[in-house]
Parts: sequence; structure tokens; C-alpha cells
Amino acid sequence: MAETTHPGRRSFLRMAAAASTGVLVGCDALSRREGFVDVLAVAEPLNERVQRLLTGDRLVREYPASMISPVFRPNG
Amino acid sequence: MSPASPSIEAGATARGEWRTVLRHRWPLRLMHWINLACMLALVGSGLQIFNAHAALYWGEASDFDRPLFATELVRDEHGKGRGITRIGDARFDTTGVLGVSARSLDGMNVRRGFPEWATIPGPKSLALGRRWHFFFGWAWVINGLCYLGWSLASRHLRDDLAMQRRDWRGIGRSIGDHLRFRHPHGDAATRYNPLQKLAYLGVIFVLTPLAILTGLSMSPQLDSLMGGFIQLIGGRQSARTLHFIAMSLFVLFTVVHVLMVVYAGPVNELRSMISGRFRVRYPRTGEHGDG
Repeated sequence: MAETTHPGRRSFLRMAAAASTGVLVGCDALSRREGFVDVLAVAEPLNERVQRLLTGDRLVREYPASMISPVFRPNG
Repeated sequence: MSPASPSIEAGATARGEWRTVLRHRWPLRLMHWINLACMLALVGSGLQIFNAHAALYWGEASDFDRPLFATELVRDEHGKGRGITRIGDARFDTTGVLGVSARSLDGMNVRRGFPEWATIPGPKSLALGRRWHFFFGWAWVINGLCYLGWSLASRHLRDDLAMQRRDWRGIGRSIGDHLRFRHPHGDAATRYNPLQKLAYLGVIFVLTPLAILTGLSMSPQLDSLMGGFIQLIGGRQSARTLHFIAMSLFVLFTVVHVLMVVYAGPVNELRSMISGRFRVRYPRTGEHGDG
């Protein structure tokens, strides 16, 4: 078995960079597939059920009207 | 991983003897790679969600004029858009990366917090970003719980990760070895070094709970349950900022982790996390040994 060399390190970094690019491109392609997006959506009802289980009928904290921002920019 | 791991293969070269040992057991290797996939998806989708409002604040409310951190589009005297990143009162031109970056559709520079290559999905989509984030958030938490359970049951936590008296005594030497780019050989190479242990324990017991709690604090419904925690950290905007800081520390940890793998020998290190087989060199007498 050969000892680890510097070219091995360079190849590793090249492979890691290529793999990261591949992952991001792959994620974009997956995001366009309806079936995959449906799989991702499984987490939404799970969130709601767990939140309901944890919080029951408790109400969130209320804030005074004075804390409402006079200017509220839309997101995005 | 244990210094007592039996050798799978052994031999000798001009540089000394070597042995191949089973360094990481299969559940650990599997959970490590699941963790990596989850982290990639969480960071990418988290940046997509951040882009919906690319600024961070401290406290209960968003003070739009005084963000702690913001990426924005500012037009120069010729009307050309520049990407400006604000950290407190300091401003940096980050055109092309933060604030303004190229859109893959037509190559046009557009207003964006983080660029398309850093977000999941690439193009702007808060709804899809949230779906990715919550799905992989669950996967990450479940994988983390499995890791914790396995680490306790297999004594990985106690035998391999917990700081022993000799680790505390060896911190100074470990810092010196890292600064001089000396990495351990022999039995010491089969154990985590003290700095490595502290980094892993910090990620598992400080950074991970911080990321989960601050993430949950951003849910309006969970606010009713976590009011005390949210007050403790200063408000929901502080929670969002701390969540972003936790993500940045995860990224920093990953970069250092990969650099250490590169420095220690990427082929050997990567193989030990895929097949478990790790090649240990025992140097000849007089050469730097156990580190």
C-alpha cells in the first residue's frame, strides 16, 4: 500500500469541490421533481402534530400595539 | 475506535512498521455520512430562507435601520447596483457574492443575500427552501438521537470522546503539535487527540442544542412553550441571529475538519470513514512517535 502523498491531498480537495458542486446541482434537479417535493412535504404535518402535542392549547405571548413597526417592508 | 483495536493487516516499510486497524464501527460511519448530507441540505436551505429577508437583528423586533448583519443592494452614482454587506457599522463591497450576484437563468446580476450556488434550491424559492429545511431538520435530529443512543450504548462516548485526565494534561502538547503540523503516529493515531475531543464535544453538546433551540424559537407556535428561553436570549430576532451564528460555526467546524483530514492524509482518513480500515504507522526508534 502506498504512503499518502501531496497529490493525494490535491485530488481529495478536487474531489470534494466536484462533489459539492454535484450535490448543489443535484439538489436543484430534485427540487424540480414533483415526487421528491412531495416527500419533503412529509415534514410539514409532522411539524404541526409535534407542535400541537407539545403546546396543546397554549397561546403565544402577546405584544403591545406600541411594538408594531410603523414601516413594515415585505420580505424578499 | 480504540488503541486496543486488533490489527487486520500488518507489515513493514523503510519508514517503519504499519498496521491496519478497524478505526470506526459501521453505525458511526453510516451516521457520519447521513449527518453530512443533512448538514449540507440544512445549510443550503437555511441560506435560501435567510435570503427572504437578508438581515439579522438583536432583540424582540427588527430595527431595519440598524441591523447587526445585512446584505443589500446599493446603487452607485451611475445607477449601477453594488452588493454591500453590513456588519454593525462597517460596510464591505461584496458584489458577486453577497447582496448582488448572478442569476443562473440569464447571468444577470440581481439582488440576493447569498448567491445561487450556496442555496438549496438555487433559484429564489422560500417555500421550497422551507420544505428542504424542515425535512432534513427532522432527519438530522433523528440521526443525532440515534448517534447519542449508540454512543452511550456502545460506550463510544465514554471510551473515545470523554476527556480523560491525560487529555487535560496533554492539551498544551496537542496545541503545539497542531501548530507545528505534527500529527500522531502509532497508538496515538488511533485515538482522538484532546483538541479533537473538545471540538467534537462542543459540536455535540453545545452547538447542536443551540441550533435546535434557536431554530424552534423561531416557530410562533412554540413561542408559547419556550417563552422563558426566548426572553433569556433577548427575543425572537436574537434567536434568528444565534441560529445563523450556530450555522456559521458548523460551517467553520466542517472546514477545519476537512483541512485536518487533508493534512493527516485524506486517503487513509477517508477510507477509515468508508470501510473502517485505518492504516497506522509505527515509526522507527528516534523518529517522532506518539503525539
